[in-house]
Amino acid sequence: MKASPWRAAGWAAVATIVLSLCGWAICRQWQAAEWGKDERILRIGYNLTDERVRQALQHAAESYGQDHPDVRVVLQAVPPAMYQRWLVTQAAGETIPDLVHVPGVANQWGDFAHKYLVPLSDWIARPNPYDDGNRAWQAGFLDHLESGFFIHMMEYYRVPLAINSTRLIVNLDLLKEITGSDHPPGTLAQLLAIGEHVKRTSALRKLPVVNLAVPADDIIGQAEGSFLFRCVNQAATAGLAMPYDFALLGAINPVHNYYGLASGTFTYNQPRIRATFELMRKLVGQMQPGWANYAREDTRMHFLSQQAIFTIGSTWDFQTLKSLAHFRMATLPFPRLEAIDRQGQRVLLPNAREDGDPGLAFGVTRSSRHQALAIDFIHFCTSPANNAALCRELGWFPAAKTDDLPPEIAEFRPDREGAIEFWSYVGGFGSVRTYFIQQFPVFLNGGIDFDVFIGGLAQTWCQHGWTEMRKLDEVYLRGMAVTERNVALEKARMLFPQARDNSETALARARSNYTLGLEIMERMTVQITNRVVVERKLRLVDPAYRYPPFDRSAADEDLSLITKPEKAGLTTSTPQS
Amino acid sequence: MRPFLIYCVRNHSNCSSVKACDWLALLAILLLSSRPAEAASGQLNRGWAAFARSNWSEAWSDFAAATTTEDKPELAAQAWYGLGLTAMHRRPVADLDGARAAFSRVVKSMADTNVAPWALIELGNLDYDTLTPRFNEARQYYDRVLQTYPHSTAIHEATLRLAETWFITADDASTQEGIRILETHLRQYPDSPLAVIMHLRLDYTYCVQLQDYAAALRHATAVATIGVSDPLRRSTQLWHTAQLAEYTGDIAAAVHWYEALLQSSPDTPRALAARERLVQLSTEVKR
Repeated sequence: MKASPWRAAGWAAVATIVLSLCGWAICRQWQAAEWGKDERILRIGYNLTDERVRQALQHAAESYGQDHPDVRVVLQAVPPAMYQRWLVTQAAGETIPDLVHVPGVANQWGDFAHKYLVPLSDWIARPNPYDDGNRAWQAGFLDHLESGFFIHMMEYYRVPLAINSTRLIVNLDLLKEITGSDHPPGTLAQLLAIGEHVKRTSALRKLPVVNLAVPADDIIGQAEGSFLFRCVNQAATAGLAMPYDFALLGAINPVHNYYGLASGTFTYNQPRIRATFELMRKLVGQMQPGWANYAREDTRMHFLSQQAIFTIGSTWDFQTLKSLAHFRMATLPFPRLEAIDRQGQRVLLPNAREDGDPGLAFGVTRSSRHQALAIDFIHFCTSPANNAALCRELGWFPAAKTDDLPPEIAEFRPDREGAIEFWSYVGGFGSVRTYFIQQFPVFLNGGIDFDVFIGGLAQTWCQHGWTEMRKLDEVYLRGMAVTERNVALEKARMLFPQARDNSETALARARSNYTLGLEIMERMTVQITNRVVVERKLRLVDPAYRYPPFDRSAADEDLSLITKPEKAGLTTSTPQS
Repeated sequence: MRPFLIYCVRNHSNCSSVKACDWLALLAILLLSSRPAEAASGQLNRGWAAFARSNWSEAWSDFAAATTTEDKPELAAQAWYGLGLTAMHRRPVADLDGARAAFSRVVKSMADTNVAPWALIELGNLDYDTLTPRFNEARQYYDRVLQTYPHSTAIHEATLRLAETWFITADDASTQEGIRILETHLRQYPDSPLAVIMHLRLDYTYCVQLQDYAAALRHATAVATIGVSDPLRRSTQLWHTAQLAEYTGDIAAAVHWYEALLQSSPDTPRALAARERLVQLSTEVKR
């Protein structure tokens, strides 16, 4: 009897189905084995490709894994140049890691955080489960998580693992060889004295040595925000701006340059401002030739090849230098400025304040399937003990409050107290800033003197300053559109149960954020309106309007800065020929 | 959907399993009939979630779907309000005319809902918050909130924004009008949720523009007592209040606020200066 062709086809179909099912089952098994079906995988993305970062995070992950054996941490380092683009692409495709390093809070980072990151504001008010005691997670940070607050979003979106600050780094052996003492300078005058000695004795050495090797970026790269200028200016002009602080905020806005110059009530030609710029010129005169072209790597080489006694750097730089140097090194804060007061007493002026730059600040991504796990891992990494251990391995200063610090790292504790009401010269991003960035190096190199430089700055302020400040205000106003949107959202959450989750906490938070958003907007509008009013009053010479508004005691301004290097008890040390 | 199901039920009498069809259809009708408000609620929920994520198209679709809930005017009003906000804030290009139309719909057709005063505020914002503001038109909207909905919590924001339309013109007469509006409101509603912001506005207006430090101190003290919401601003505000107290000769108040600053924010930039001021003030007091 012939087999029916239909029956054969039927058996073939059944066999195909059975084989397919077997294949599918095998694939699933393989997948589960490969992906760890019972594992939870936590992916972390960041933009620092240094192997130390990977190792430190890996060890933290292993430590975490001891109590969480089902968790596997996968680290992904992306080169800095590609990082932002990579983040956005991954986020759009919902393949972004669970935790990502968020390098900033302003501009594009605010938009990124708003779209792709989980707000952490509820979490930071609760205790860290890995911290002893009951304090809020936020209270355990050196900066109270200020670096994690995105003001226009009215939310905390990131948590730093470390805080970076900058110090002078000294080659102790070279210092001793040249000056006879390895005692680092405590004052700026002593630092300058060392530099003078280095210059006088340089002819005796085969290789030229300079006092300081500093990258151009830390001298002029960020205008008055550059590290060196900030340190000198804030100390030298501390309190100088007090009479002009019409809002009594403890700080003035650069627009006061315009107000004072245009109304004839302020001049740059006063002793402490002149002293600031002269000190900068003296410091630069003790630096490596061609300093304006030196990047950070160049100054490191200069320092490592023992052609400079001092350089500057963060904890990161210090660790790198320490691993490569064949000489003794130490760190010290930027030396203090001294002055003589009216009573003839020598006084130390306050240092420039340090906020510290957050390092490895992580945010939790919205598309993460392991948000609670990601937050738990960050909790773990920011407990005082674990954060200290992580940062000890990184060689960075911990973001968490801890005293468990190696001495050389403890030196980098940010000094959050410091000078206030110092003078500020540059505002906006237009002609005034351009003038400063272009002419300041010429002044520092001796191409123009102080009167010409500062006269040009004054003239630029009078010609362009007001227009530029108004343009900046317009940019702020447009930026406020972001805050308006967030206020609208929080208002909706406050009014409508459908716009929030069904909890008292959500309602309370909506009310709080609604008020916060309106407060931020009001403050910005106040600032802008006040500026317009004051400018109008000064331009129209309103006799009823006092400018500067406040008289301060002469003692504040009657300080004679010590700018000439002193003989600091140095001995001449002739190098072996 | 409902009419279609009714049609199906009526026309399935010839179906071999008509009983099953009928039951299924009836069940579906019952379920769907009882769900308009729930469905709208769910759509609103999705709409706000999309708005929060800046997914404008999705938000628009969800809010638009919820606008058909005519039997629940509050939900419909919320949906139109959501449409208006979506149109107003969508990027890259906002649809301001669409926003205006949506808010106007709420104000005209759903005036009795709780949403209407908030829609009026947004209409005012559309006239005010632009590169070519129309202050008089904006004022009329904000004023309507105060006149028509005096018991709504929207009156506080309406007052704040109304005052701002005067302050922003930055001439003396307008500034005085803005001050009058806020002072009057604060006298009537001293504990309103936005009181701290009104005090803040008055504080800096008196301090900077009018150089009336005694008046500024009254409002600065209120701000410092209630407390600002911005965590980055707290210590600055305490410093400001202490300084105002010092300048007006109220040394006890100055000491109080410098100490409050040191207690609440011991590592603020102004901590060192606050300690120095306390030393100075105690020296002067002893003299």
